[in-house]
Amino acid sequence: MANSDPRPNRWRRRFAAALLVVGGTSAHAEQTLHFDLPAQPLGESLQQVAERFDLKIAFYNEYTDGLHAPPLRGDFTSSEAFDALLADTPLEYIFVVQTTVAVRPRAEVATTREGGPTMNKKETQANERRTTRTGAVRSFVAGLAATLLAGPGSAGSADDETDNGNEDDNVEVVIVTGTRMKLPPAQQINSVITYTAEDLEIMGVATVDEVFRRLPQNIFGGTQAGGANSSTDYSGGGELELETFNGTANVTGASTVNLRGIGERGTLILVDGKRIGQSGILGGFSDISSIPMAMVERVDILLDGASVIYGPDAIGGVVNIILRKDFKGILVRVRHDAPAERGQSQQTASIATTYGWDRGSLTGTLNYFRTGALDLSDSNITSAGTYGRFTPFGTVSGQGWPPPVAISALTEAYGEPAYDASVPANGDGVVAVEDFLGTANNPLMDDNPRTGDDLIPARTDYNIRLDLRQELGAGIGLDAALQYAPRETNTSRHNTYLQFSVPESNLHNPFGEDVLLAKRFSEFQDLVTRAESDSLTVDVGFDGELPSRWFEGWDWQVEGRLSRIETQTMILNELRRRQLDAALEGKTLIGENGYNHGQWPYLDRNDGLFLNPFGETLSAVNPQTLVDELVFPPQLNNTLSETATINAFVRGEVYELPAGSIQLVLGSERRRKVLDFQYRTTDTRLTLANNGLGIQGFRQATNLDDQRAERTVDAFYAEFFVPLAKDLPLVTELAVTLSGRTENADGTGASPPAGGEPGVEKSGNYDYKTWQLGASWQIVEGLRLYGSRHTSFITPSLLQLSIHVPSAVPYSFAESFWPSFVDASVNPPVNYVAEGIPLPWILQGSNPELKPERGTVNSIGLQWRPGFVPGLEAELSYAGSELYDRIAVRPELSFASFTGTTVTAEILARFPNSLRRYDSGPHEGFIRELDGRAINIGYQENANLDYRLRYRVETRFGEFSMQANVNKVIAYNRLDSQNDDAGRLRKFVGPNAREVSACSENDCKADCRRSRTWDSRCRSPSSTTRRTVRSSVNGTWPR
Amino acid sequence: MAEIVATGNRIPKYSQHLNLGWEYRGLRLNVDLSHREDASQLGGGRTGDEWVTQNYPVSVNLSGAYDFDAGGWFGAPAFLQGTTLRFGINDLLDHRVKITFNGETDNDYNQGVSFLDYSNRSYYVEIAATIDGLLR
Repeated sequence: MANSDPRPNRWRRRFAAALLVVGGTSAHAEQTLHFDLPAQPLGESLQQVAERFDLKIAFYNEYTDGLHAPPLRGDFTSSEAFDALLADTPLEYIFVVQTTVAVRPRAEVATTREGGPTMNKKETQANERRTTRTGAVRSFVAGLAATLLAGPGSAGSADDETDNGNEDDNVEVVIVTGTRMKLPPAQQINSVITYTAEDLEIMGVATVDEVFRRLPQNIFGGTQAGGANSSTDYSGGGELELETFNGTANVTGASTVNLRGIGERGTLILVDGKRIGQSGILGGFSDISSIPMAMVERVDILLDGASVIYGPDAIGGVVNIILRKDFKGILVRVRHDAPAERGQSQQTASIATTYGWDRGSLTGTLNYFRTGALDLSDSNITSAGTYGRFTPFGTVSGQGWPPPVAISALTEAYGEPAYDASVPANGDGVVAVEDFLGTANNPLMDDNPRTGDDLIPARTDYNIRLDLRQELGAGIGLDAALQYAPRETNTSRHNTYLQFSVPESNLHNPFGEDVLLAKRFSEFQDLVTRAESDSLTVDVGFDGELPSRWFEGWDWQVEGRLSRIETQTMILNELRRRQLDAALEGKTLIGENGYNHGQWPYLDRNDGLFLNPFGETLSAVNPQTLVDELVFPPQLNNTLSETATINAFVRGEVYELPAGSIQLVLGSERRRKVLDFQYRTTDTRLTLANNGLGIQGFRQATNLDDQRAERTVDAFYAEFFVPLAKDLPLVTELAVTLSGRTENADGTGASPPAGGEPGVEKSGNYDYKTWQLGASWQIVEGLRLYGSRHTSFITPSLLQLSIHVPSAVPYSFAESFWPSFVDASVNPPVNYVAEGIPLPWILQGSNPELKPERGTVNSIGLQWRPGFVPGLEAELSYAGSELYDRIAVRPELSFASFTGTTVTAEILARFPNSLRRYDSGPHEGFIRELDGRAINIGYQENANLDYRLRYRVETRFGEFSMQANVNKVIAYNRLDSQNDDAGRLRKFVGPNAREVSACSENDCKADCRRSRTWDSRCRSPSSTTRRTVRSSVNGTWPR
Repeated sequence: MAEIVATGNRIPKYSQHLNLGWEYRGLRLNVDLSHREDASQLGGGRTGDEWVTQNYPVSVNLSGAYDFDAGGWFGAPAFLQGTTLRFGINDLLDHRVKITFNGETDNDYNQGVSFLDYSNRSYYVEIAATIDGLLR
């Protein structure tokens, strides 16, 4: 398996580690010398012994770090001395050549596979290629030592001294994220950040998602561990932000990555080189928060597109998390995180071990993670009223919502200031009916978080994993893994609200007229949204060699993964129902369970006369019926997401050039995704008429059973590596890679209804081809230039394509919000209500006609590893992308834009294609539908500069290390429309868009700068998109 | 610990991460700094004419570890062989929050207009022990 092979990470780590080389020029290893060395760090003793015998010695600091050598006193040959020094260490030594010693970890699990005396060279090579930790290390050390120490031209002499006989091959057998070829890091065409397990430890993080919060290339922090966040992110993407249930965002406590700010779906997340399943209540993203830290061996972050290699979604970059599969002894890790304030105490525990036998090994890990919830009241800042503005819906509120304001009538009645939190006062403390009406008419208003709400849910994770490696004979190896990861989250949240009318006659109505009131019963117990998810992952992979008679040196791999994630979300509302029942009966609940946020101080004098209309109208209805049938029915969501991948490829050398061998990878992949979705909810509002409880509102119930969408993708891909030149002046190595991929997708799913029942139809079909051209030019030793240009794409999620959420709604759904619908596209405008014409439907949400979002990514980088400063690595890289056909709802056609006749008129004028009219019948010519569904409309671009520096040096005062990573965004735009009214492709359109024909080029440019309007007229012929955007954005930022 | 980020209409400017470390005789100390800066549009959506820079406070994290195997500082009892103690403080400066409000929602371009970057200081301790020899 390409990237599950543990060798690469070790090799990379060793490349990254400081190599310590000491030695002389002549050998007299067989001599006996006298030593009197004290107990000291092992590295120092090894160096001193090597120096005495005039031996070259190679080892990595990480091998000897923390190890101490015993005193060495007496007469020793070189072998005796090394034996003595390494006797009680996990290290051993080998003579690579007569004059060179390499120190390496001792053989462990796969010792017997490394080859006994009877193994021939071919068998040894086959074993080396598989998961042979010792073999990999040994061959690496041997090869590297021979290459580096013996110098160019002498490598051949080392061949015969090594087990596998070809140190070049071994040095180069490095498989990294971003390619399936076996290339050394010096020939990669992409920029890759690697965090080893040690790197993660020194960052002090408890979970994988915390790593990405500190990753500069992860724009916006990108990981949202749960709780409230913004809703529609028009910056692109935002699958996590769609994760709302009962108004609370991300109740599964998931986290994901958003490289370059392209959106979560624009970052491909792999575990051991393979796609992971889709998480969340919408099955729309890859969750990294469930990966235990103790299992992580390294994290590769490819800062470049890679759809050619991995398929769709790899535009912003690729995250490849490599899991650890070998443990010495039994590893036990226990961690406790305690917050300075309340909330979010975390506990982590892991236990892991590896059991090895002749031809294989089995690794088992058991992990536990628990975090408490973060409640709004847990810290001073979040409990402050201003936090209320940080809302799922971005609504404006003052001291939370609603701000408690004194109601004069209540104050007079009770003789002391009394407050009603239901009535907002626009922050000025003066109640005005306009304030109230302005908010009460927005049903979303009252979903703001408030004290008592969990911003981040309490979460408990378990993770059980088994990894098997077995040699099957005939050069074939088997890798298999089984992982089961259940999770439970609980999000405590304030109650939902009821909307009702309060008559003017109510004593506590301060407005002097009937008003519509949206009221939340904060005195009730919080309801709990519970999300339970079960994740099951099965990996099976085989690898081996092709018959050497025809394919000398070729190998093959077949790997598959089945990931199945089932998420059930429900609201536990039994207590709430009981309390509502009590409320309807006029009972006082304040103080029960000590639950009182102080917002309803008058409720303890519940006499049925305050602004709660239930008090005096209770007898009008059967409250139990009300409770059971209308008010709080169960809400339930079930999502089953299955992702299956089978990938097979062969690779090898096809032709020998003077500068090296042309390598080829040929592969095929089949992916299948299934999303099974059940959603049941009822949105009920009550309307209380004057002095009487009458249900005059509406009830919109959504019952979606077994909505199922699936997609099967077949892909073929090829990678060529062509070494062009070698060992020339200023061209130490020059190579190019050329890759291509073709994908064909076939999908079906339940389409959204067009005013009717959902049907099943083809959706999400596409036929897409991508390519990549890259080059790596090692100018001199340690200085390398690389770059690539390639196309990438993001496929629409099954939810976007096929699942009926949200739905088409009748315009009359919110008729009270929209008193009239005026068709302004005709002259004179027609008022549908006045004319008795049925109000049109609004089509929203998923769209089976969505196509992949497509993009082009360019990158270039300069890497410097100066030989005169061992341990220093510096890298400067650039990556820029242009994306078209991004999926978005046209803002002008979104739900909220339909809320007024003025906007409607604008919509009709600007987007005539979004209207569908009656073809015949009595309403012929009138508007039947407004299509506000997501479409491929967005344009987005960004460009980034990354600077990275790593340095590690060992001194007599210890080892010092530094890692720096800086991301500078030099161009970025939010998602903008790429089409104008007439359907012409352009870069930007918005409410402020200028008529492009109305200005000269120069005037237009000035307009562009002022208004940040970007379209084709805003560019000079020679300017680039990025220049335009840069001037547009940077020019308007405050300095 | 927790970080909540509401994205809204933000445009990233730059961000940076720095880790400095020192290790001697099995004792390792690291300082981890991260910082980022964004720009946000005032006035809601693309109709706004002003931008405000979101200059988030630097997050300072300290971590340390002591490897009892190295035994460089003091003798360790046998039962601590193979044990590493890790400890640290995340978000030392308790930067916790940076809230900026972008004004009203004046059209549907901009539904998430308020930002909050939240994290709080926390302390951790971790013990990692390798019990060797039982299974081999």
